Amino acid sequence: MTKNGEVALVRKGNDSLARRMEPLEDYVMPVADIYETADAYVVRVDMPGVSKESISISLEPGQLQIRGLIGQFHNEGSNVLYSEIAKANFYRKFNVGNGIDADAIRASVENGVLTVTLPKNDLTRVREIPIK
Amino acid sequence: MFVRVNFEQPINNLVQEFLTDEYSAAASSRPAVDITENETGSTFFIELPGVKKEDIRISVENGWLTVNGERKPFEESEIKRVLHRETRNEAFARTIKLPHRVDLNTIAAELENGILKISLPKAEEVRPRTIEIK
Repeated sequence: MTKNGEVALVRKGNDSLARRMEPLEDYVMPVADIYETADAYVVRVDMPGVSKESISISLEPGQLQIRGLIGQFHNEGSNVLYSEIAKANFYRKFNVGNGIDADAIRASVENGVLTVTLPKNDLTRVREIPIK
Repeated sequence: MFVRVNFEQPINNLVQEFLTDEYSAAASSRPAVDITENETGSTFFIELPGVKKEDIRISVENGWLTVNGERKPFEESEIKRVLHRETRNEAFARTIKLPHRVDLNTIAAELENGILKISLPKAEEVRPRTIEIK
């Protein structure tokens, strides 16, 4: 299912710098929303056509990188009569401060939307101070 | 009636023939569509990230298929603030002319990874068949 995407990565895989830092040229930037809750920052990224297995998320100091490889969702052996859906892989990076707990990041995918939850750490969490 | 697709003809003409939008002036957005075809039927793929199954309505009337519905807001009870917003929660609608006569009883739809796939099997009378020479 992710054959095309994997090929693209392997083809350019020799350039380790590019693989690590730069979006490949055949990537597009997906739209995203960012929310804040009391305990976390929540990043939601639209990735229609991308399965859970084809998404990779990495965190480097200060940077969250998200990559999604689009799968072949057309039926094999069919003629394409008309096409508007972009067949490009997704890539986007987000600047994150040091106010998150990197070990507790979690992610889920539902209906083509990736949700990454970045729990706050002591720097960013709001503390309620009880009055004695 | 059997319409033979002539591949010499620019694909755009073909598209104009069966992609017209009743809703173009309405407040609804128009999700992206792919159309594929094989011997047994055609398939519409409609890009609907973030839309739940229960918020999609598909109807067929008079040779036209309409998909409409709404992308509902992200449900997270504890949201304090929206820091950044690019998606829109809004109604969507798309009306597409069926490219051939369809067996209405066997239309099937599934939602996977934010793409709605609608399978439209050809009606028996428009399926290609081979004629044996006796």
